[in-house]
Amino acid sequence: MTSPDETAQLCKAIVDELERAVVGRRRTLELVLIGILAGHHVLLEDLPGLGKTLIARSFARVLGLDFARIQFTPDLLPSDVVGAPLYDQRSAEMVFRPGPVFTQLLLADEINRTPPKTQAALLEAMGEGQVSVDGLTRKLPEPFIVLATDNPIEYEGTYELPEAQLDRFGMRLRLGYLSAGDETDMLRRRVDRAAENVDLNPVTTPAGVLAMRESLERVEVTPDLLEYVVAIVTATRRDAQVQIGASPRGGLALVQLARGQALLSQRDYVVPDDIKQVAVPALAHRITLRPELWVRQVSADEVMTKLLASVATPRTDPARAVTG
Amino acid sequence: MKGQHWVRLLPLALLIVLGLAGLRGTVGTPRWDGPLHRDGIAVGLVLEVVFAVLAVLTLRRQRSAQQGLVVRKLRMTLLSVLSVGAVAVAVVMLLSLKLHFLNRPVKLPPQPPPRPGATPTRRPPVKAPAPLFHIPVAVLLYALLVLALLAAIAASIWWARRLRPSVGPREDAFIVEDSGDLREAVESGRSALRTVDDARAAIIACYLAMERSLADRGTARGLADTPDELLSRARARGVVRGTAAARLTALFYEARFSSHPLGPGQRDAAEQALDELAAALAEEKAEPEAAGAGT
Repeated sequence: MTSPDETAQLCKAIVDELERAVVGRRRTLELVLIGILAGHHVLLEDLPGLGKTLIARSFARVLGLDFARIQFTPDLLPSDVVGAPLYDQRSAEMVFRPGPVFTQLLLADEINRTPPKTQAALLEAMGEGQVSVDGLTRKLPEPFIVLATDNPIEYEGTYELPEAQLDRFGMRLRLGYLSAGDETDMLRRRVDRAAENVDLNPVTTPAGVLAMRESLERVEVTPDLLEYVVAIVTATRRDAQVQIGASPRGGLALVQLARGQALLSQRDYVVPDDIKQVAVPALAHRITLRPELWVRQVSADEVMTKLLASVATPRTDPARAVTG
Repeated sequence: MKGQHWVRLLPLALLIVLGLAGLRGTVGTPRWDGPLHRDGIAVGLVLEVVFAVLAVLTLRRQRSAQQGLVVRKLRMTLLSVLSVGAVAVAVVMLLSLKLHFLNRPVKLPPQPPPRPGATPTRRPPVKAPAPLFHIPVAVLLYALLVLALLAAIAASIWWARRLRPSVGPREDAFIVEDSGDLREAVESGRSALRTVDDARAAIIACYLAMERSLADRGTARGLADTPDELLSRARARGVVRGTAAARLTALFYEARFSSHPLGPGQRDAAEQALDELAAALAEEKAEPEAAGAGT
């Protein structure tokens, strides 16, 4: 088993290697890695051309994982995702042909372009790590990680992800544009290397990823930090701007992601800052705002940020309950 | 907090006093005759004052507070009602004055001088023609005043409920309530290091002393702040320089949120950080005093 210290060192090496290909997105890379360590799937939401696919490919390479990509389209069928039984003429039997979901890192590109039926085909795979076809349940390889992308701008010909499916993503990240300096750096690197892609080196293996996940379980979380997490989740349910608050699954995800954040900060114990740093990507996609806020274009991220600024952090002195 | 309660109750008390004064007609009792009588104007003026005070309070709250959509809509509605009320009262008052001047008694023709020797006969007094129609101005104004007072009381209760500290935290509440002297706070941390055997408790006490000293310097920790956020804020305000505060904060995190055994090394590190911090803060405090003495 990898110790938390070793995992922390490995995390740094992974992000450093990823940064060779993905310029100016260290925090995004850290968050995706935290999501992977916590055993979650990650939704990358932003405009085309911002490096979502590059991030997924780079992670697969650096973590030494099998990689598959599904381009979700309106005519994609569930069997195109999970696989289907086919008739084998040589053996005269029905043989199951696995779909692209049988991989370790799956890039579900533009997941909101496919109808709910096909989206739902991913639900079991994402939630249970298995696929049931023709009455048979087949385990997916471990680790199984879905990095999904969706385009938040176009609405025509898209199917918004249902809450149940959104809740299965550990975090939702928005990339945003690079700063002018980072964009120039990216162009300069492309010109210098005279090749389309960066040849990344694997830093770990699938077994290494699983060991890193196990070490996450050894990161300490004090009881008052758990209460802090519950206070944040409860605040999302009580806020006047929120129609549906975060689920208990959101609280579980927040704790695991905070542990991942602690590891990345070279600690084997969680502090309130770890929770705050991952709370918005962990919970914003799990809350449903009131319709009038959609009209005013208030985002869930903004509401979550505001909520975090109002929830009390654990007291300075644990012996003093009120005034720290 | 108690002071704030008084401040909140002050407008309500003022409105009630003004309202009672208006109802009694004791505010500047004008003594002219006519359909307005004496207290019509007084009641009207009191109403205008009430509307103005409420409008100013609403506007101030609208600027200062960051409220939700519903609250903002309610405020806008309240402002509209107040504006309409103020205009309506002004119109009623002007209309009444106008009617008063329209319904002046008709001037009678000059009477011929009495003839000498003639015994004066008492003529029946000529009555002024009755006004065309009568508006119960005072009744209307009294009704409006009562309505305004009721609205003010309801609004005050609503505000008081909204502003009542909820079970949850408030951004402007601070953890460190007692703000002792800087030296005293740092000394309490040092004494904790000397007296408390447990390194963990000593480090926490040390950090607590730093937090108090920062509060003394005007950078208190908010309820939703983390120690690192407090440190960033203190740095941004120039209250903290150097690395001592960051080291002490890191040690505090370890002492507070981990169950590692903490040894004398960490305890010594906390003591050293506290000493450096105290020296830096004392130096910083001495600089303006020296500058003040020099001038």
